[in-house]
Amino acid sequence: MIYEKYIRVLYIDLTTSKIRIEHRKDLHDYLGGVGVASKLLEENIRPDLDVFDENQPLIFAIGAASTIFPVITKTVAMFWSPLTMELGESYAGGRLAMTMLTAGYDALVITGKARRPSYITISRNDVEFKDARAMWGMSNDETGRVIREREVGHGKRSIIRIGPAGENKVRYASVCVDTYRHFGRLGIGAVFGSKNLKAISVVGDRSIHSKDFKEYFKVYQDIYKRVTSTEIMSKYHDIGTPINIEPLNIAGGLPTKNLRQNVYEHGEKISGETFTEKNLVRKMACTGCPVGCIHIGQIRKEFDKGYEYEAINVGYDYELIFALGSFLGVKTSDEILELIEEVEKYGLDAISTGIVLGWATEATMNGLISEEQSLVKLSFGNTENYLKAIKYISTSKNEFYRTLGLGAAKAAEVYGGKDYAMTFAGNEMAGYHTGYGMALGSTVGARHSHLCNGGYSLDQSASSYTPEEIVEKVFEEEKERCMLNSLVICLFARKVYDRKTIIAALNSIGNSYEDDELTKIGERILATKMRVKKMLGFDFSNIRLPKRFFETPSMKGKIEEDVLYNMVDLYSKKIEELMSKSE
Amino acid sequence: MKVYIELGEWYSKFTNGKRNFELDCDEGTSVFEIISSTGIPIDEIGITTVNSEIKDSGWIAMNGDRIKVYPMIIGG
Repeated sequence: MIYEKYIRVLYIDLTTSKIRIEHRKDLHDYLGGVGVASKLLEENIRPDLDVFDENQPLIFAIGAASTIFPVITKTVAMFWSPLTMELGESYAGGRLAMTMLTAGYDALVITGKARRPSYITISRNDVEFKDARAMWGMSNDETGRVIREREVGHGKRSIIRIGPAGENKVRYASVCVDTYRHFGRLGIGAVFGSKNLKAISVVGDRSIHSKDFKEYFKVYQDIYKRVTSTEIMSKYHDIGTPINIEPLNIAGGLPTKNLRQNVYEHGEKISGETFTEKNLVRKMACTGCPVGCIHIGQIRKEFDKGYEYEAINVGYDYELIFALGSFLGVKTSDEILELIEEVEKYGLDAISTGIVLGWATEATMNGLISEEQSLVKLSFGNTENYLKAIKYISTSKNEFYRTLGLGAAKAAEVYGGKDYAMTFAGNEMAGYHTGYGMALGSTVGARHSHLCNGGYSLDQSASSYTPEEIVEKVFEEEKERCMLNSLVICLFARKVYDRKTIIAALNSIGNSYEDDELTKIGERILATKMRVKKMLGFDFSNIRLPKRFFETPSMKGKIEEDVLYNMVDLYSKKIEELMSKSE
Repeated sequence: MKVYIELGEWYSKFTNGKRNFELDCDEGTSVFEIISSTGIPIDEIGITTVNSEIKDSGWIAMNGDRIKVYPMIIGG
């Protein structure tokens, strides 16, 4: 809590419909966000029980300066990932951080399982448990609409919900946040489903008063000016992350057709500029962000014969365009938006869905899967059949689609084709086949995401780093991001929030921190995450990547298997050192 | 000597709306120097191609070269 030396945690038990609030002074050393959430996960996780056991916790946390300063807009969710079977960590913007702050909670810990499909409403003085049986089976969009009509709090409310994929415990089901944002990765939607939890609505209406407004406003203005008047963030607003398609494609770093290629012959048709020219209709922002990076594209869809059309608005980003576009050989922006809309409707993670379908397409080509199993012929570029497959995955249509719902790595264990199931330790790859930075960063990152340490950005640096230097840089950045994510800063603003700015911001709202304390917080958090991973059986030496990563040249050329595994080994020694220091 | 510059739409904000244009420069000038002289901030210079081949920014341009600049890859 701002100006307080404790973390206010709301515990919710869905089995008993009981709640309690604790003021945890001991968690203050973790700053907030991912620090607090990691510690709460460590305290509450039950490795001795099934991943979907009702006792498993679902944790949400905001940071010490959430929505008080520009672009500090995100909420972190932590859980035991049913996809990778280890650390689950996911971030979303929207209004959730603002509503948690103004409802007066730094963190939520949800355990138990509701007796029937339910949703909960959280407000400043109250938590209510409500019947969601009528919503079970509804899409994200419909669920949001129903709750908006039923519940109070318009404008000060965040509604997070799952679609049918989460209900069916598809292991890469997502949670939709306020329509256009998501806790996308690692299967948090399935954890909701396992708890019979369809949605959470948080209403916040508390005013936050600054004790030293003059100092606070000075710091705020400085950050605001850098965010809005310099070029640091402008690309995110202008074309947005889809601007990446063109440079990655020209440089040979755009994963295409299940990474059989690193260049897409139709790249120009799905570039950021194409989306801007053909589909862009609106830009939006998360609460507390002056940038507005959420790009909304529009497609026209015929919903009935007789010239009956509707306009559908769909949020798009680079990762979605890569996963449901180049990775599947889809050739137009309209078709990609259709696929995004379908994934959105059913509540799946778009990246994992694209990679799973990429594997399934190649496995079909190689005769490992028959049309009898897949019900439709899966082939690169066939959008119509991919749309059907997305529905079949979400609704667990048959044994084959149930298996696809376990993720690409698991599906390849069952049907074969492990060499081209494009995952890092069970997590489907992100859209950067850029070189050793990306390969190492995703392999060793605590949640096997490109965002754990931004390794891919090293690959486009003008300097050529040695393997040892890459290991060092990835390790340092992973720790730094643990600290940044304890504040839950949107990482798009990574360059704005340097140490000096963070210290000034925290000091202006009564939280006095020195540089070395922030370093220690980052280390403490990473050590906590690694303890959780170890508890769940994670071991660096067990990681083996699909051969395809080493066969298809990256943007920086071919990645050599032995070089990469030596780098993983070096990194694991650094982690051991960190953990022994923290014990 | 003369070189030809080709820019994506996003860069036109730095070049008074110009995207494809000819530029006079001295012999021995690097691609980096040429691009910087157009007004594009150095932090925004990403992948660069010269006559459709990727070159690092220290590459020395030749008369008649077509230089294309792509934005830095962004993300979290």
